[in-house]
Amino acid sequence: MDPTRSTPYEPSNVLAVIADAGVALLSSGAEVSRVEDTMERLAGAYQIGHLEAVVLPTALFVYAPDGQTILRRVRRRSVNLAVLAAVNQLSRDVARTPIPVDELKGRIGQAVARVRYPAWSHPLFAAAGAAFISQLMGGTRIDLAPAAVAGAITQLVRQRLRTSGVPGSVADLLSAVLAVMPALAAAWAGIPNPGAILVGAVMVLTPGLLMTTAVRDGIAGDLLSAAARLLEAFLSGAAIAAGASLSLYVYLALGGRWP
Amino acid sequence: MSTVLGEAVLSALTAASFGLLYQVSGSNLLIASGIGGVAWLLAHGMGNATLLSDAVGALVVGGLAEFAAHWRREPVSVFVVPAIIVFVPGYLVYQSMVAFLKGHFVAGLQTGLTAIMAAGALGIGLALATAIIRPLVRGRQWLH
Repeated sequence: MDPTRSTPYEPSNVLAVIADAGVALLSSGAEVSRVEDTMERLAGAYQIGHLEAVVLPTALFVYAPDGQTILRRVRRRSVNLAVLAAVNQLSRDVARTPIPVDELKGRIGQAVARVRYPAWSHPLFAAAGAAFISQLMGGTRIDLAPAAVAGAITQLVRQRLRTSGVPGSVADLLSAVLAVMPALAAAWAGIPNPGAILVGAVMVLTPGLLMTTAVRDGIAGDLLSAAARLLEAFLSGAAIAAGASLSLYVYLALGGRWP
Repeated sequence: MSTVLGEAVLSALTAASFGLLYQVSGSNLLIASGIGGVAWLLAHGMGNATLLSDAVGALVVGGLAEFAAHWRREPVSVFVVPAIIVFVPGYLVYQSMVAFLKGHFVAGLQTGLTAIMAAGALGIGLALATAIIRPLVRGRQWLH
């Protein structure tokens, strides 16, 4: 715990912890340049020397001057800005006052597990978001409650699917199929603008982080990552549209009313 | 004007909700929410929703987020991602989808292409913010 103790640490161990930090950032949606920058900053703090890092949205490689190479695969990606902020802050703190590697490892573990709000509250936030968006998309007060229900259902389904290991785009499609249900019920009951409810719910699934990160990666010159993230955003959007269309198509084919 | 103000408030509330969903907290959440509101006001204060208002909205979101990120020493995404949601052309995609499902293919293509253009305008706004405003805020230092 003594920060002044200067390192005889096992280099491979340090490199592994640095790669962990990179994986934590990458899997919560950070830009490539941020991941590389954080790992280089940590390498500087632990006197590893110049680190060569290759970061792709699905994998990262780090090479230390002593010949150690680490390859990590990133399979699960989600939006957790709390992890992003926490690892970012941690790397700054460590660059200023280095801490023992074991402690760094522990603190990265804490940062990854960082969920500021409990899982049961997420559907409530999604409900609020969907309700507000429905009002911006031409909805009236009558659309508030169905949109909130739709947002909550969408988020519940998505959370459940994510923990069960269903592939991302399939999860998006299934979530969108169910997201549309409250709008269909409202249309059946004769609400004038069910589209506002539908859009509110589906917006909960929007790949907003992917789009922003793709643009920022492109500007920074990380072209592979920019292209891959644009593709992921496009696939996700296509899956969402396909899911919503599927429900709506079946509803229309059954003779349902849709203004 | 009062409707635009009301919508800006809704936009701020939407940004706050999505910020909570993405685990943003405390004063950062308030800032993200404020950025969402101000961006809507500037984007739609001058008239009807067009491609320009999407680009302006994204530019304002991206630009203010650069300032906030520099000031708070947080990643820019913490502020951009919640605030940008309201500018995503979800309603156009929805209209295009319904038109196709009802067999109105020309209308579907038209709204679909408009949606793609709107998404492009969004991308241009964000790109301009990153490419122009970021260096102004930070000098030559690239990240954080």
